Amino acid sequence: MKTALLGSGQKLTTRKLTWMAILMALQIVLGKLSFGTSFVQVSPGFIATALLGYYFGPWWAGLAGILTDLLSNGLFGITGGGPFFLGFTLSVFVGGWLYGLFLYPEHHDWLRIILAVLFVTVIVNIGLNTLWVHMLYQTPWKVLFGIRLVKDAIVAPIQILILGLVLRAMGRLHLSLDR
Amino acid sequence: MNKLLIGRYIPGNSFVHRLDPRTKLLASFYYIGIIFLADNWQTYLVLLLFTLAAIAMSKIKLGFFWKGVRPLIWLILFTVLLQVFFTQGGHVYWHWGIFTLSQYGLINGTYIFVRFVLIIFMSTLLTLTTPPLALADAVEYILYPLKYVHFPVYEVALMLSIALRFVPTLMDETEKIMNAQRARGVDFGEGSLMQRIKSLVPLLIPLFVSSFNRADDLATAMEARGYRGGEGRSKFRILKWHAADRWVGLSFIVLTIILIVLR
Repeated sequence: MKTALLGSGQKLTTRKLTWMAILMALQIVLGKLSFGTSFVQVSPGFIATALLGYYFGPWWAGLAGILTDLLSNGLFGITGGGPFFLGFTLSVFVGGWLYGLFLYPEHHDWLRIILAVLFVTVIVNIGLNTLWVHMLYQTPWKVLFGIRLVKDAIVAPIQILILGLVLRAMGRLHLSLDR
Repeated sequence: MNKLLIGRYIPGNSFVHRLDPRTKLLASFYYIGIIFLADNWQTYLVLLLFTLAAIAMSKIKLGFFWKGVRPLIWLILFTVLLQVFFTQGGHVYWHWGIFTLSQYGLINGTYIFVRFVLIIFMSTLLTLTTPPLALADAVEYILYPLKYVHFPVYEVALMLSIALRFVPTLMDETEKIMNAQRARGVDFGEGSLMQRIKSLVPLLIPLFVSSFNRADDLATAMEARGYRGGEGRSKFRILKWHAADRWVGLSFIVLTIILIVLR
């Protein structure tokens, strides 16, 4: 974690720059897909965010999240299923930052993956995003929390499983930034 | 995936189209901030008239703006219904268990609906009248002061341009991989949740492998052409402030004063 916080202020080489740009584009593309049943829908966009953290650490992943949020808004007019709002941009930053904190540099053990997804779920999805929705539309707290807790209790294990499968496959294929 | 429209920019030469992209981006941010000042029907009416005037000046049909609302209609209705049935106060029209239909609930529900629509209209106005690359330029200029705290502004701007350039390419790539896996028998839309999760891995891994190969090729090509970081590079598109941008700034100041007075 110390490496993640201090080591992620790495110098940006041309290769790192292009990898990060492509991952930002993937964040937008995957964010437009969704899978699951009619009851639970999961978008794989979070995998690109997690990969930014996995390869570049918390600060770059957070920054890339902000830029992707702005780009996505520029391309589609909506971001993350709602109109543009700076609060949600901050959520994207914190999400990328947390993934970087746990997964950088290229860690893919299950404990770190579980912790990363759980922290993002609790701090970003249940905490910050609920706050923004409440601020924007004054929806009652109790109702919002109730709905979000149920949804995230189902989605978080799915995200852990997908992220685990993807990151471990990346490790097996030696898809490393320093290859 | 193929139903998705990339970039919603509608070319034109209206007053709004001609505005500097920085003005439009900053104005959109500012608008979302001052919408919180509205708390009665007079303030919402002023905001509605202001937004409709901006739309009229863009010379784009109102129908395009409704298209921006349509993908979010269920989210809007859900939020409005929560507001209507869980806000208490004023005359109670109906009550059942935890649900209450009250005077304040109906008023708040209407305000939330109008707020939702106004925010979407304004952000749609930005995207319909500004090409994505101009928006990327605007973000770069807005980030420019951060250069003084050693923030890599030029690199970030280049990243934005590369990401924008590759969104359509990667969308095609995703579609191609999905079709290739379908031909091998993978079914993305059928089966239990577990089967659907498993079917995602044969899509994601080839997509990441081919994307990183593209990134490597691009880095090699950039270095072969002498790319050595962004500092000192000249610009193809140069942004300039005009009188119209100052008028827009002034109109937002006047709008803020009116909202504060009417609150």
